[in-house]
Amino acid sequence: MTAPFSDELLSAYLDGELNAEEQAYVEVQLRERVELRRLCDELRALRATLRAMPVSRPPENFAERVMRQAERQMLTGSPTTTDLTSGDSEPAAGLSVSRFLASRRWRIGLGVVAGLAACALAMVFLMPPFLSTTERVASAPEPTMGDAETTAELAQDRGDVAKVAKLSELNEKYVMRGRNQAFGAAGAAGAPPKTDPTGEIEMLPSAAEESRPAAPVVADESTAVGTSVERHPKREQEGVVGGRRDESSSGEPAMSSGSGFGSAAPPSIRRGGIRGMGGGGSIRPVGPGMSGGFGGGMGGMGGGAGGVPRSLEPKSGQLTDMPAYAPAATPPADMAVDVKTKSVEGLEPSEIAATDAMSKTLPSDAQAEMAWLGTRLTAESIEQCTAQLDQSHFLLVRVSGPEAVDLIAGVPHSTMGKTLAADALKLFAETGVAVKEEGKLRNAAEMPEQKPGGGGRAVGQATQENPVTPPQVLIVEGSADRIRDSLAQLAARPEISVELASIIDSQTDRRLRILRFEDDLPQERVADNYGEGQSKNSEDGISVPREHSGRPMQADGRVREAKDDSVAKAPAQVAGKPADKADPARDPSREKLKGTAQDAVALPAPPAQPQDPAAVSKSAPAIPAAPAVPSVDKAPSAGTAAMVESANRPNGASVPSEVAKERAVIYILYRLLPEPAVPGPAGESGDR
Amino acid sequence: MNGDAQLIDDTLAGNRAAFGELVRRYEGRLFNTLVHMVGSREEAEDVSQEAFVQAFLKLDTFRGRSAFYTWLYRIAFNVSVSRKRRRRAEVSMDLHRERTGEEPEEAGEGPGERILREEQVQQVRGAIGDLHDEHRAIVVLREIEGCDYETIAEILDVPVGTVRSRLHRARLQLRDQLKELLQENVTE
Repeated sequence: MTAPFSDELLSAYLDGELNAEEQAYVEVQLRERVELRRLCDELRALRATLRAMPVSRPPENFAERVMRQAERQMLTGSPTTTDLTSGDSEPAAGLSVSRFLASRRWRIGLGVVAGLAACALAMVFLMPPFLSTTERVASAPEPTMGDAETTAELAQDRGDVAKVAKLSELNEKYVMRGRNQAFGAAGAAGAPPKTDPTGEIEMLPSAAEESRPAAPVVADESTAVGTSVERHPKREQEGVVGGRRDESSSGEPAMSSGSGFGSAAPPSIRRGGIRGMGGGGSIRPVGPGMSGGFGGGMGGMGGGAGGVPRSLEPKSGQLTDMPAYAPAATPPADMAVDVKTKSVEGLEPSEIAATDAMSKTLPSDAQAEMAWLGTRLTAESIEQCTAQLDQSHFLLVRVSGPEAVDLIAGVPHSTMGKTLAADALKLFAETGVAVKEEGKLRNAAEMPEQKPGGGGRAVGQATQENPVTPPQVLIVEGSADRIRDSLAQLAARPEISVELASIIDSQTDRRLRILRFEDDLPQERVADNYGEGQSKNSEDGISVPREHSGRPMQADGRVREAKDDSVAKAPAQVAGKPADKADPARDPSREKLKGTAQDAVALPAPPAQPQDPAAVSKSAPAIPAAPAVPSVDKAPSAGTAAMVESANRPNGASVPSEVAKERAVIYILYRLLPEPAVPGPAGESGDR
Repeated sequence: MNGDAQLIDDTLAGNRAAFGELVRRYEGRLFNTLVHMVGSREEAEDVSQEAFVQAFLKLDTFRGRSAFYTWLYRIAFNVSVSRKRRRRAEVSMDLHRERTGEEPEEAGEGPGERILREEQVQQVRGAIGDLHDEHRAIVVLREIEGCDYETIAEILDVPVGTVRSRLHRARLQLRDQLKELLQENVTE
């Protein structure tokens, strides 16, 4: 080996991960270098110490708890927190009971249950039972563990035949329904059903509701669905329940219910253009497989349908009135926001964008405002996001996760004119992250000044060992429905994280605010850049992005192929930046962004699936249609024509290179295309 | 594992008990790993439970291209990261929340030795907790789980080279933080 020795080899040597040549090389180095031997000894001691750590074991009934939780979630879509607590105050619990039970779906369901219970009671009292109560309980077809326990408890503790009978009846209904949903008739035949027979997921009213800022919740993900909700002092919200069924699903199950572990609604839509992202609920699972159930999660409805919702208390068997939903208080007057204008009054831009979303240094209102940012996509947030889009407002979605790169693998590369690509780049450029020189985007490493905190531009010196790879940017245009479906399909991917990054308002000239998460920033680069282990740009308080996958963008929006070193690296690096206070030089654009549907170039319809399966990452499923919005309409003004601008790779490109296979972070910029003009005297196209 | 595939098929066919078996098969391994990942038993319980539940609900999406545990761990990893983001203000690595007495005693260990060992354990966990999430994941997978680089790369969906470099950096960081402890161990 002639390459310079890297200490990394030492770790790999200790782990036995070197080939013979490398191993011999390391051994030579060890013989010759004392400091290397010392390091080797230290690493050995460290390994031994780590491996000597005691083994922690889960509680004894862990498996049973998991199964109960899973079955409850599957059958009811309800967030059950009892199994999650070990005396902890589960944050979601504060939301769970009343809000969940206040959900529309639960009200409807409980109305049905109440009716059934009444019938059951009538049967119990008017007709001699065929079986004794306990026998009926025992013969109930495989109630869930929890339900069986509940029923058994009642039978044992109360001896109340009527109530036990009623409960067992209800349990049977729930169990059978859940089983039917989950397994269907085909379940009996040993095959999962194709679809959930109960079908629709209700989209809870969102715009009509008063929702308040609430703790963001991770929902909709099998990977991170509805994790415990962080309590926020300002939030009391009732999240959203239910979601929208992905009607365009090609069989891919929509996201699992986010209900299991809590939900919350991000701040109210009334609080601003970048708010009002409903949170909480989720898209109920449909499609093949296990998921079934009622879907939806918990969450308050806020002013929902008529009728007093009632809850079934498992212990007492009573149907009790649920606490009335208390609509959130209106936000302070100084925070009143017009959704259309998307402006947020009363907040200093620097306050908003100075730090990342969860910074405690932000005023609580600003924290609330930013709370939804970074939240996982949910059905309601999708709906609200889409509702806020218009010709001057774009939605930026951050997609991350091991398989995020698959989103762009196989996405057809467009021949879109420069306009839209330039728009997107310009948006990012406003933050100072992507800099245009001589019409070309330059990598941060190529910029003359590389200093930490340099307007967010400097991500760090790109070196061979430490390449700075930019986030990938997709631009998606389409109708509201198309965007909604795209977002829903994104959210349906359990392996990836899809979060709302920002709503970009070009008219109010708000800077693009892209939130970073601390764990986005590679510590080694932090140390390199700032030497303090900080995760933020010390000047403007903006975190810089972590290493991202993907290829740098060329000036025309194409992505340079991995092997093509002839094109200047031109990543669009995205970082938040404090809104420019009074520096026009740094806030160059007050003009409306260019690029409209009329500028768009129609593309041939991209394939819904990648042409070449081998071109798709090994872990990629059928490429979600999320960014691939087909259009065969060559008329530039076609309102429904949708294009996908892949900033990354041509259609059917090969699997991303090794660099690109790193954990990807992709930004998808959604722009709403105007509806096509309706011919006729009253036809008009316009903003939504 | 062939056994996993059969259990998965059985679960998808409607046999819930089959998934229960999967849980029992991997609960210990996942839980132990997560304790080191997230820094507390309580959180590890929550994360692992949620991961299993999500695996159950999404079992039909498991394509079988990786091992079941790989897929499960990835879910758990994402869950832990997401939960950590939501609890950003909290001290996610508050090791003082660890209940005492949960670690198995070693035979012949006196109380003083046990306390010292517990302190060392806390110290090590604290150092692990200070690592960046993905560095921590790699260290835990390597040193606690005993995974090779290829497996780690598969779980975290990063190249093997990345695993190597991050693991080394993480080790250097741990070495710096645990210098005194390591010196004691070296001299013992």
